[in-house]
Amino acid sequence: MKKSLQFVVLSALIVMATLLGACAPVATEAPAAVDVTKAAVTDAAGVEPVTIKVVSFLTYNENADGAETKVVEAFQAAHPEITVDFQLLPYADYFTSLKTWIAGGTAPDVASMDLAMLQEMAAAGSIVDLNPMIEADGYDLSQYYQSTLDMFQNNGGQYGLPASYSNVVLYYNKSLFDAAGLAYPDDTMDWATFMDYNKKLTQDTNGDGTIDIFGTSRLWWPYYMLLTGATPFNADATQCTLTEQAAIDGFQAMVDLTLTDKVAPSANDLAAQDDWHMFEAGRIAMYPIGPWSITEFNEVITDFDWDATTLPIGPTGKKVTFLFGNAYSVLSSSKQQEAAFEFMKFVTGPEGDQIRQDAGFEIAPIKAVAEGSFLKAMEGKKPVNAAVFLDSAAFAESVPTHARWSEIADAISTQLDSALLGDITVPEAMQNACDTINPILAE
Amino acid sequence: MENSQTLEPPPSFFQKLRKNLGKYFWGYFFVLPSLLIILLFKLVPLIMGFGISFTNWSLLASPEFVQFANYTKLFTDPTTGKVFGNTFYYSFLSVPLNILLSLGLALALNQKIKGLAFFRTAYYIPVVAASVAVSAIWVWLLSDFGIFNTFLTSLGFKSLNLLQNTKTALTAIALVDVWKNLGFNVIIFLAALQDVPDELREAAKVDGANSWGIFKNITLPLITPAIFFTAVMGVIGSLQTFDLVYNMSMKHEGGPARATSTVGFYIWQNAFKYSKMGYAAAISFALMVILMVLTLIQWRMRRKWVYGEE
Repeated sequence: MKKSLQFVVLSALIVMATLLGACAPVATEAPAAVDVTKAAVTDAAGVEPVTIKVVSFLTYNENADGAETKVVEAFQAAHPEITVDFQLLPYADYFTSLKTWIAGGTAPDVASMDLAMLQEMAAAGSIVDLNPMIEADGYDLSQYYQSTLDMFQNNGGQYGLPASYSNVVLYYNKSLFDAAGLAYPDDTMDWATFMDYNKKLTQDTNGDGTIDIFGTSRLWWPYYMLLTGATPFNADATQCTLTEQAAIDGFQAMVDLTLTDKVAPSANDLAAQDDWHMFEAGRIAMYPIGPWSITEFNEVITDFDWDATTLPIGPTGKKVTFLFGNAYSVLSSSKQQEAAFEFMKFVTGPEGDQIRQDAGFEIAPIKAVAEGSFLKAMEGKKPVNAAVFLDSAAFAESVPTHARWSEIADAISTQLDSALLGDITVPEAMQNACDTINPILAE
Repeated sequence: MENSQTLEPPPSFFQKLRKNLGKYFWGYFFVLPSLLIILLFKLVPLIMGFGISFTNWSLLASPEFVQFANYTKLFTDPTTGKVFGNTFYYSFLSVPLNILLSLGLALALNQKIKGLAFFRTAYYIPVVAASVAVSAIWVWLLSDFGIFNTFLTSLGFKSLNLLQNTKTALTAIALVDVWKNLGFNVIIFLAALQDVPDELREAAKVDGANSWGIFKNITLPLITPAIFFTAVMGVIGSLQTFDLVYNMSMKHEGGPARATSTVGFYIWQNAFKYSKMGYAAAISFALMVILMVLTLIQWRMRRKWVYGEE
């Protein structure tokens, strides 16, 4: 009796263990049981019903209405034969999740990408070159701004189609300029004037020894490289070029803002309140930021008037701004490439762009949508000079890319941390950065 | 039974298993859940990780065998030295400090004082609090608008930027670690202190020992097993530290200038930020070997100072 009980328990355990082993990769067949009516409709049209899995971070952080969800709903209405399993995720940790899914064999068919992600994924062969599909389909690329397409190319391949782009302009707090008796900045402002304004606008209003209002805030560090035309490495990415004078001049200008002239908040000031909220609180006079700020600033800022102009001309006479962009890409592992491309055309095309643009999300890469709707959507909103976003496109440049960019970027930003704290000089920082970057480029 | 002996078929697999397990069957049965968890979630990943450490797996592309490249890189990568240095500093600061403070607190909480239950609970709360929440609170407390700097500036001093200074950031995080994990060791020491027999102390008192003498010659030797336990666990835990560093360094970058990057943090960076799974696995195994050596040294040395070990 006792022994048979042991036997039963043991065999039950073995059966359970077998089941446990079996349930791992096969369980994804569930979508076969989708909507019966939908299947009937598409059967009548003679098309195989397919399901594609899409993940995206677009509009997640900026737009509470979930503009991207509406884009997918619109696609779903236009293409009932393709069922979209859509997941909207926060930008933080998005790329980590995506990489883990790819490694685990559960990658989506289509995913949103930013510039750095796309370059890494293209180099690893995880996303497909869309050119063959574009040619086969006769898809018209001339409706996009060329610069937004260029961003998502790698070795001549088009690895993504742009869904939104943005650049950085200079917001200014009119009340602070009025109080200081200064003329508002315009697009002819050079670096000397910019620094002169910064010094006049930076104040310790309550006299306690800490600065309460800053002239400006520092941009993300790659800007100061673009500002003097410097590059992190040579054209064929074999040698670090940060020790050249152009890079040193650019980063010196950045370090001077915080360390020497103290007109921009330091890391410590930013730990207490970030520059975004400082501008909202009237603590930054000239704030470089992109169109993703428009919705919140229009809602939150009620105490002062503000407008925008282009970023100033750099210390060596070059005018530049960041070009940022987000794209959608098709994953190499996708077995539904045709349906995925159909989705790509819709969500990055005029229909998808229009929905995002109407929700006020960044700027549409489709020329007709940006020109027709961006300024119209901005009517009655600040900045009044909204055209500055379209004007800035003329001199916008994207951040340099490399398959190992996040590692290279960390090597540079780590050294800039030390330079910003005054622990080392800018030339020393660049020498150290190159010592780390050269082995990475050699790998 | 005797008659059927010759007719009996050869014993099946289950019969053999049952026979071999014999009277220990239920013992094995009860440890089975833990055993399965250790096998599935510890041992299997451990072996896989060891394999990965000899490849250049990027998560995205399929892995290629690179022999010992990841292990030789440990000695040429300038960041590795920095992060191991940071981690040892972190450990050698936080572990002894934690043991000293928690022993002191346990002694205080072992007295008959008012509100004993309250104090014992209060010191244990940070242990169970989520480290993300603890980090957020301390980042705020140490910021320019935080209570420490407000106090300093009100006295006319300049505010201290502990977390933004390369010389103080890691120390600040290690001290938060001590504060957070104090309660765990307090509980261990309290339990040990309550095991010290009153008779011994009373006998010593009768013989004229003062309270320092009683502590030094009776209480302390009797709780050395607890000190040994907390030291071993503390070293293992602190050398693997990740969460406080990730959450308390600016933008989760282990900065400023890598000042707060620990080995655990660098492993995470390599694995998920730089897509270098192979190198991350190699660093993990280097850390594991170091942990094993340190634990072995502690284990050997226990005979010299731990009560009841010869």
